[in-house]
Amino acid sequence: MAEIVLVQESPVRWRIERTGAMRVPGVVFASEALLPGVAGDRSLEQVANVATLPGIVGASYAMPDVHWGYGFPIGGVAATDVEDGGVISPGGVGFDISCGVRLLVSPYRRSDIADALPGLMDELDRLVPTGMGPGAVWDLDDRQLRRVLAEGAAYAVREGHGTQRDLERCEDGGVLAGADAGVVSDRALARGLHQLGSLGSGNHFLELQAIDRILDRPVADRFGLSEGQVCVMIHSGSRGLGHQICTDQVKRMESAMTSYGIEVPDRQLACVPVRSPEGRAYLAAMAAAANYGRANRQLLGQAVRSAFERAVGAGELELLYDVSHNLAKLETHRIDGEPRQLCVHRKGATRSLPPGHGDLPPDLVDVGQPVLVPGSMGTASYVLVGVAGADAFHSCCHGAGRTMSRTAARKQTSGKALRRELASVGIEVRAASNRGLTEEAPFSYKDVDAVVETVERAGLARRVARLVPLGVVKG
Amino acid sequence: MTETGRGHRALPHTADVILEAWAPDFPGCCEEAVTAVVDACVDRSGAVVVGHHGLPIAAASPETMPLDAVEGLIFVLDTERDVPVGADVRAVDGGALELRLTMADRTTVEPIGSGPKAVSRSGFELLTGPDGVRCRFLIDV
Repeated sequence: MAEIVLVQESPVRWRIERTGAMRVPGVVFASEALLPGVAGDRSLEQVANVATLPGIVGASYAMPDVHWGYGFPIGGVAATDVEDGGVISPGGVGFDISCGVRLLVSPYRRSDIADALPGLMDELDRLVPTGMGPGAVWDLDDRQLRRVLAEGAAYAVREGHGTQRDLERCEDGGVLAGADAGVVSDRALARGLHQLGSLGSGNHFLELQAIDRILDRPVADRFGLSEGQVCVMIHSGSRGLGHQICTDQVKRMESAMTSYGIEVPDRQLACVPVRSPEGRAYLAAMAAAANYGRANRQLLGQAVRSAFERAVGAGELELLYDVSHNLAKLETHRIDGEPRQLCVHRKGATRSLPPGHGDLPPDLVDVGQPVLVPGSMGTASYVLVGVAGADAFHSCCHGAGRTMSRTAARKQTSGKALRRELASVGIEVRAASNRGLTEEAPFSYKDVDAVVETVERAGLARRVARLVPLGVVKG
Repeated sequence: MTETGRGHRALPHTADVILEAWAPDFPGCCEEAVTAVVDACVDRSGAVVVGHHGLPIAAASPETMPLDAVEGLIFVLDTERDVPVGADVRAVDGGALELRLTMADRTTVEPIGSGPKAVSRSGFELLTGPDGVRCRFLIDV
């Protein structure tokens, strides 16, 4: 177990000193109140463990929403130098490959849909498959599944599920290059056949929201956001297929790792050099899962449009942005003034591109990337924007961050009480499981307002709009 | 071991679920591990059993077999219309195990928590002592 020596560098930045096998320091962006301190939460130890990975550069970073994960902490960012023996670790991506968030913006004001709200929530509940097991907006055959893995949301749009503009507002245009369905196991393929266009369970949700405050009007205008506007936030990932790919690849890497002379302090940190047959195979399988995740959110977005059409009369919702928060990407960054190709792992962390970056949608190049930060159920969510000069390889937090175990949350409330509480503040809830609902009770998470304030003070991104929930569909 | 006989229980984890299973012998421990996952995600009190689903667990090091059994259960949960509500694990020739899942009609089983999607290799523990076998593992939900 690594020794944690924590040094405060600023009110919102802490350094974990290099000790033992750490190759770089750890850096934690957090106010004193947000520092992980819960008994049993071992996320700072995990930040230190990540710092031992071969080829890691800069630091092992933790975002303000950091909490205990497997191998990597959730809210962790680490980059390795590809040409200098840098490794790739499936644990740095997570089980739910390309889990992410999409925000659709409606032309409606909150008052426009007040009467239609219960009916709209019923339609969303009916059209969006939730919970565990099979269930899909689009049931695939084997050939279609392979095209989804290769072409992501772009294939869904080609088949009539969305518009070209949707793709312009997706990270990587909705398709991550380099995917190869040939390296995906039969078990993963079988799990992917009947889940495309489904929320899943756990912390995944679909939320009807209204913008309650604009915090940066010029950027909000460019994003097409205004006070009172109704939006829909979708949080989901690559479902069983992505989990199976991670499971398969961790096993493969565990057995290959020793042949490269790599030792790691935690089995879920299993890794191999990016430039190795196993590393290339993981990147190809990960890209296939990422494309499934993007197509999944594209299909969920289409279900939302259908629900609006049926309940409100028109389904013309525009996509603001779709971004992953569980992914490893090959990116070029400057290290000691020199451009280097890095493998940037973001596990529970969102890419956050500054103005002028070449990977931004053309109409947002001068503004920066929309960064989507969902809060806990019944509290607030945020739209932020990427800023110049940010640390951590253009990364930001991905949510509020859990502080309480699911078991503890269940002991503090019941599904019935939670529904009543949310209804009392005007929030309609549709949930697949009462117990699943209580596990996601708002008090189980950090205060999202404090998390994004810390993000801004740490110079990682800037707040643009705050959104509050009107209705929640929970998996 | 503090508990005797066989059983399973859930322990707290910030984001996911830690499960512990124990039994006098190794197949029994694997069986309790699978049942622990079932109990973490469905209320099977009203389940109407409709059949069985068999899965071979290949002979490997003992350290991976409980995880392999749980992975088999998760695969069935994700791909079958019916839901596993019980498990029977038996040793077969050559050190392999046979996992036989009791399947129920999905409409008679109530989901009671977040569905399991994977089992982590991080923090997996397997202990063999005079009272039997115990394992502890982490489920991604």
